[in-house]
Amino acid sequence: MLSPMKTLLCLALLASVAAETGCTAVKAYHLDHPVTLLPNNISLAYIEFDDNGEMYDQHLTSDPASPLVRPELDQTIQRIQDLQAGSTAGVNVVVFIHGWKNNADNTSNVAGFRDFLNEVYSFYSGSSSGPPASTRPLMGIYIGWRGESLEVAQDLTYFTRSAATLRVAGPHLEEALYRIIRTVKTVPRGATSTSPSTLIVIGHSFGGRILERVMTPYFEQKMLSLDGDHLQGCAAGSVNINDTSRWRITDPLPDLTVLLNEAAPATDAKQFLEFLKCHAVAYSRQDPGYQSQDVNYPLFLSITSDGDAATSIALPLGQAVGSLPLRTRNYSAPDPPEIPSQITYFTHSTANIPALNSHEVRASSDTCAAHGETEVHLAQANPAGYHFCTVPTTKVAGEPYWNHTPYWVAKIPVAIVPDHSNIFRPELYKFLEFFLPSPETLSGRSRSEQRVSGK
Amino acid sequence: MILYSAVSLVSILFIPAAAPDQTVPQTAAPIPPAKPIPPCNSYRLQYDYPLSPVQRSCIWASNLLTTSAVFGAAFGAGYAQLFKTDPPQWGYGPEGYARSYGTRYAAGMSKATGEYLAGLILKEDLRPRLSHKHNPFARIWYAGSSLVVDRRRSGPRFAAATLVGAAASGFTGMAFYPAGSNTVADALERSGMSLAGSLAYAELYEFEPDIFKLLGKLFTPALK
Repeated sequence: MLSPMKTLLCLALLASVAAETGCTAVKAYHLDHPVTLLPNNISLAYIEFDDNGEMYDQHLTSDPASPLVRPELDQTIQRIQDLQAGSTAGVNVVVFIHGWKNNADNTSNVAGFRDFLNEVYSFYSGSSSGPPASTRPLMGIYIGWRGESLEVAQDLTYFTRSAATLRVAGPHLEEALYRIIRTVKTVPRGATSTSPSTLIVIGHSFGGRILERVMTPYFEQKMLSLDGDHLQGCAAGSVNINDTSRWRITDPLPDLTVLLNEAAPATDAKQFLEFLKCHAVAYSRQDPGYQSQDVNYPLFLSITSDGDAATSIALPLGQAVGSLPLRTRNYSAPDPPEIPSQITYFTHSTANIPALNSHEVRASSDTCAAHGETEVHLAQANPAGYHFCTVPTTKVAGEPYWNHTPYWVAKIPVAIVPDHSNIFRPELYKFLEFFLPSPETLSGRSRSEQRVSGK
Repeated sequence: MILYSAVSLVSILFIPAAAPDQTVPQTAAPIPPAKPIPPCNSYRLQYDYPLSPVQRSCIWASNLLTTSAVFGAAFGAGYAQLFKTDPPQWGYGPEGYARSYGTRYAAGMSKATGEYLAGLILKEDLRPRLSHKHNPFARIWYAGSSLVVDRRRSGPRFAAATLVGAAASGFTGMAFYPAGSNTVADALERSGMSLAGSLAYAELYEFEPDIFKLLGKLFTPALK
């Protein structure tokens, strides 16, 4: 039996070893300078959340009696407003929520995001017909959380980090994201056109799970609150997706919300897909830069690499262990019919359930028509080297395919993203450009208009 | 030990209290430039071109202690003990295993060091790249030839660093292996085995996404 003194010393030794070699500190890395400048005047801001989902705060002055403020969010919003005030052409904002085994320190993930911002800058500034890049400033916002809790043996942290995502996707992050959306996309009072600013939000891996949990209620609330009379229950039978008696939302929405290699069970997606499906929600934007009629766009774009072993192999194994204390049920009338049990949604990510996939990415040498599919045309030309096709998995009479909602789900070839973590690649930038509003659309001459409609 | 523990305890208890108070400045300061990404950040080590000598050193240092190096040597030594392929002079049991493990690990370090030095002097880039080809034979050829071809942006050229690394690995064993297993022919054989390992790694790197794609299908719910 150790004496109390020796026990204390042993504990101190263990704590110091853990602190110096094992556990990642619970701290903000950018509280002093939340907003920084990259080359080409690209702004880079950080908003960090602790392990409990709270934003970091501090006193306004060195006086402990001064009020507590959250400098990272406040200065980020202020920077967006400053950029908008100095640019009649609007501002391009990219928000990124990182995944497992990362934080907001100068990790490879941060380095990759900085590269990504340069690619987006080149995309918009490279347009000959759009306004000069200097009139459309670019800002990146890196959402940090404690995705890395151990510096060694990080694979052991799957369950604790998975649980952390549920805490991070809480009121503070909701406030941060919703304020960013409002600031970027809200039309100034009295203005006749929509905001020319664009907002792209990307969640990677566990960050995708966080983003989905925060944005799903946002989308649902927008649809339910504005024109609820038209939202009736899910009547049995087929849904006419061409119904013209639709309601409309003009509230601010991000231009593109991407779940990239999302490491999350499909339980949330299943419920939201049902909501979108039963109310026949469609999301379209007018994009005069490409064509005059409305073009269907995704509310969510969930894309996962064919070579992503983390979500296709490790996640089902991990979730299978996690499902041991879970009680699931079998559906009496499964919809889609391929998935008769809840356990499938719990043990697989959305994109790894083929029945939920809405699109196929096919090589340029192939065609959509050869597979009975329909090619998607957005504001941009087809993604470089690929065709983006809707999936005709006819299972219910009268429906062309099960997932015809604006929650787009697709697997992407390994040539675009080879695995789970190598995401910041030129091939991915080129692919995502397909879904971005065209530079012409963002010019002062023509403004895009977004519309969410339902039956 | 007690002294270290005491110092640790004191540092844990008191250093945070001594940290400067972080407060927001009252006046809006100009936006500072972003901190540069350290040269040995893993993203930069993957994508920067060309690599600086410091970055090459970082890659070399990280190759000295890797999971595959540790477990590869352990597996190889275990196999050699089990099937008695090691020199009998080393004996079998814990001591023989330790010798076998140490020799294999040292060979791996020599290989990494040989590749590093040759790459540094000859300015070769040994980082693996995906071929982005569709024809499987073309992919096999691309991955295999990467052992002796540096496919740099300015055009491919002959590369010797992998061969030098394999030779270093094989001939390092001459310092450890007992007489009877220590001829030049033995060293060349070990070098060949090392090169075969590099070839296997290059092929695995090229086809890894496809392998995971196939394995992933085993876990995918069927689309009837």
